[in-house]
Formats: sequence, structure tokens, C-alpha cells
Amino acid sequence: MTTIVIIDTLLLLLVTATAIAIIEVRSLYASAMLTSVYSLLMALVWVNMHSMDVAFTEAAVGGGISTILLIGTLVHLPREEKKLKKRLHAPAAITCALAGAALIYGTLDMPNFGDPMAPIHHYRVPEMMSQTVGFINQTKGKQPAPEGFDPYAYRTFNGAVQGIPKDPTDTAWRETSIIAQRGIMVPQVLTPGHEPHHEAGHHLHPPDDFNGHIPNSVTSLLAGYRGYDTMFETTVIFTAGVSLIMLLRRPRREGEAQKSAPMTDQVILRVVTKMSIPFILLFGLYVITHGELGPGGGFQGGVVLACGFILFALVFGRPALYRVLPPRVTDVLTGVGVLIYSGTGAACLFFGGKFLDYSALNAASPGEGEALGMTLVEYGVGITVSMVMLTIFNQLAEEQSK
Amino acid sequence: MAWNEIVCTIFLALGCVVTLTGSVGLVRMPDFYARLHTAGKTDSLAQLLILFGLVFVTPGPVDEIGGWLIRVKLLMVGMILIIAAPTATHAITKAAHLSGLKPWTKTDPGGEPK
Amino acid sequence: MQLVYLITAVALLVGLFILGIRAIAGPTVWDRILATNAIGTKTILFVTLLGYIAGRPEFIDMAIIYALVTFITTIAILKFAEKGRLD
Repeated sequence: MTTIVIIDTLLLLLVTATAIAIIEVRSLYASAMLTSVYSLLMALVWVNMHSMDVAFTEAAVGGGISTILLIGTLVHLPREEKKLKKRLHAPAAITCALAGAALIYGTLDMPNFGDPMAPIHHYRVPEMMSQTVGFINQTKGKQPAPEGFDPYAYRTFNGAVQGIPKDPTDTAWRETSIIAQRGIMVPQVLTPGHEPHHEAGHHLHPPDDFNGHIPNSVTSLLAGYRGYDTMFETTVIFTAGVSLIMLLRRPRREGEAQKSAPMTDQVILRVVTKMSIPFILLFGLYVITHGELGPGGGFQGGVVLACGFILFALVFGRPALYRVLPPRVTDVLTGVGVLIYSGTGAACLFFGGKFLDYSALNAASPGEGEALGMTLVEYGVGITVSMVMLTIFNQLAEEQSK
Repeated sequence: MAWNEIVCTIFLALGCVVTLTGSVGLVRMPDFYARLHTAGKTDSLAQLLILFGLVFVTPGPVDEIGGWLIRVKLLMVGMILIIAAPTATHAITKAAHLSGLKPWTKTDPGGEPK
Repeated sequence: MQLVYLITAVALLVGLFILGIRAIAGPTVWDRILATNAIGTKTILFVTLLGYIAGRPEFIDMAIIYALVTFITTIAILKFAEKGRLD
């Protein structure tokens, strides 16, 4: 029993207990708080699997924004759920049991945790790892390739199973990368002269310097390899904000005072909030910018930025927030984020590349162009996400004023 | 074990003891105000001890500036928690008191006003 | 050293369990808020510890985010409990 397995088992027990408690507890207020606890514990499970970006997003969105929005809806609801007359609904129970059994049966076919022969560790991922983490020092950020380094030697590889020796004691292939020395098993690519392997119906991506020497492979996948996907995700978030405005916003008559209940009479809370809001906002910007080099990125940083503004609105009242950040500005900025993203893609067209092909931004070194493009794109995502979260909070809180 | 690992073990052990004491106290105490003592104080102390213990065992060079980044970040988290956690506890207490919660005494169990 | 980390992690998890009991069974709502806040703080410590178990202390960024997010959530919950509205 390794450390990871023990911690995983205990965490999953906790998560199950919390989930059962959310359903069984009758007070809705307690359910909302337990939902925040559930999100934090799930984030711990992701951290245990070393997937930092997912854990970041789960903690920030699930533990922060979701709980605040749930509390915002509790204003309109009674304090307790109604008591159910019948305890067990037979068709629903049977359907859930069958679906759960089918899912568990499906997971029996998946590869073991950390298995180097798993399909995820072939094709795209080892290429990215060898391009980025293989020659970048741990904390020094972007660097040009060292002397005598031939990028094409790292980029072609032999396709699925032939790249890794079947004999587990043959470990010579592991000795060529920093990742292997840290204990992570990644099949390393082989000698030049091997052509990309074309199976029937499967084309390998032609060799290129597409992800720009960025150590965080999640960000480079999101913004580089799946750039279109992330652009449309940002558009979806923008659409959610717009639809909420269309549904919930009512025109306000001029001169009508907004009722609000600021918490400024509590001295300690007011002073501590005033001290900490600049740091929260700065930290949000740090997470957006640092997303290339470590865990983070546009979505997580945007949520942290929104949390800073929401804290201001909670303690000082919404009219104070409207003086600082009026709704017009928020509405415009939601669109500006998507514009920055698509604008970066269009700028790549102007510089002679394809849409969202960031390597065109810097003709001398395409890798640096990729890094620059991804930074800009993450800022676009961060602005849209933070402004949409703030809009959702404002609209939800405004409902109570009527 | 090297000296820094021994020091780290001592701090981590102290932090664990404080955490477990606080959690057990949270279950055993008779009313909310008593539970505040256990949860609030042990929370703040345990996180300081554990984070300070982890400073000693961070890998990285000690003489150059680059190795201190993670240690300074650990202490930064400690500072943030020292300011934020007692504020939250204070706000909870004030809200509970203003809503009329009465403390437990031997003659009168207290609790919320009926 | 891995053994020390494991024991600390198990101790923190046991603490989380006990706090969870109080969060579910607290007779008043203030007990639950207190337990949720304490669970948040323990989670921060746990994330840092998991980083050291994995050999990558860069997880400390996550701990900072957790601290801020838990603080803000507690303030939101308290505002609702005290004033009955969220703005």
C-alpha cells in the first residue's frame, strides 16, 4: 500500500460521506455549506493525482463561486426541505444502480494508474514533454535550446507500442530525460531517421515547434493544440453571461435608491478586507500570467479576480461596487475578452500564419511566438471569465432588491 | 536523518497533536462558544507549526536567492492564514452573538432563543 | 521522511473526518459554519503536504488560492446568516 493509495482511499471515504450527507440533511443552508466542503475534498483528490490545474479550477469555482451563488439562491427558498412521504423510488433506484454498474464495468478495461504503456502516454504527450520539460531547467522559465540540440531528433517517434521495450528490465530508454530522473515514466523519442508512423486512418501531426517551450503542458494543450476549443469555450462563457443579463436584468427607474446591507459596521472585517483585496486581485493576475510556467491559467485566475470583486461587494455593499465597476464597464469587458482571443488569432493571419497559429507572431523564433500568443490568449480568457462571474453575482444579488 | 528532517518531524508532530486535540474538542464540547475555543485557536496554531516545519525540508539551495522562493511562499501562506482565519472566527462569533445565542451553563443549557 | 509525511497526512484526514461529523450533526447553524471554515484550513495544509509527498513543492500556489477562497466563502455565508441577503 503506497502513500498515494492510502490517502486516496481515505479521501474517497470522506467524499462519499459528504455526498450522502448533502442528500440526507434537511436544512438547505447546511447542504450549501456541505457542497463547498465536497468541492474542496474533490480538489484534494485531484491534487493526489498530481493534476494541479484541475484541482485549481475545482477549488476556485466549486469552493468559491458556486457556494456563493448557491447561498444567493437560498434567499428565495424556505429554510428546510419538505419531508418525503416515500423513502425509496424503485424505478429511479434501479436505473441508477444499473448505470453505476455499467460505469464500473467499463472502468475495468482502463489501464492502470501511471502505466507507461497506456495510450495517453503516446502520440502527443511524450512529444510535448520532450519538447518542453526535457530541456528547460526547473525554475528558470523559457530558454533557447542548448548547443547541439537537434529538435527533429526529439520530434519523430516510432508510433504506439514499438517505442517502448516490452522487457521491464530494459531501462536504457529512460535515461535520457529529466522527467525520468524525477521518477515520472515517459517514453522518450528515438533517433532521427524514423518517419512519423502512419496507421490506417490515423495521421500524426507533422513535426513542428507548436507549443513554444512552455513548461505547463496543460496550458500549452489548451491554448495551442486545442486553441479553437478554448476559444469556443470562452464564447460559451460569454454567452452564459449575456443570456443571464437578458433574462434577469430589469430597467431601473432613475433616482430609485438601491437597498443594500453592507457589513461596514464590523470594524475588524472592514479593515482586513481593505487590506487583502489588493493582494487578491494581484494574485489573480499572477495566476493568469504564471499559467504557462506552473499550475494556473486563464480560467483559474479569472475566478480569483472575480472573487476579489465579490468580496468587495459583500463587505461594502453593491452600490459601492457599482461606483468602482459600473455595469456598463462589466458588460463591455465580457466581450473584450473574447475579442482579445479572436484578435490574437486574426493577428496571426496578418503576420502570415494560419488562424490561431501563434508561431507566426515572432518570425525569428516560432517557439517564443507561441509563448507570446498563449499569454495574450490567457489574458482574454481571464478577463471574460472574471467579468461573467461578477455579472452572475450582481444579477443574482439584484434579485433580492425588488 | 539529517538535522533539518528531525526539526521538521518535531514541528509536524506538534502540529498533528494540536490538530487532533482541536478536532476531538470540537466533538466533545457542550456548546458553540466552547467549540469556538478549540476550533479557532488550534486551527491557527496548527497551520503555523506545520508550515514552519515544512520550511526546513524544502529541497533547493540555501545560499542562492532562487532556492528561497518556495520557503518564502510557505511563510506567506502562513501570514495570510494568520490574518484571515482569526478574522473569520471573529465574524462567526459576532454573528452568532448578535443573533441571540446563549452560552451553556450547568443550570441552563443555553442555545438559541426560543 | 515519507513515513513522517504519511503519518501527518493520516492525522489531518482523521481531523477532517471528525470535523465532518460536526459539520453534519451540528445542532445550530453556527456549528456548521465553524466546522466548514476549519475544514477549509485543514485542506490548505493537506494540499501543501501532498505537494511534499509528491516531491514537487510547487503546489504551494494552490494553498494560497484555497486560503483566499475559503475566507471569501465564509464571509459570504456569514453575510447571509446575519443579514439575510447577499449584497
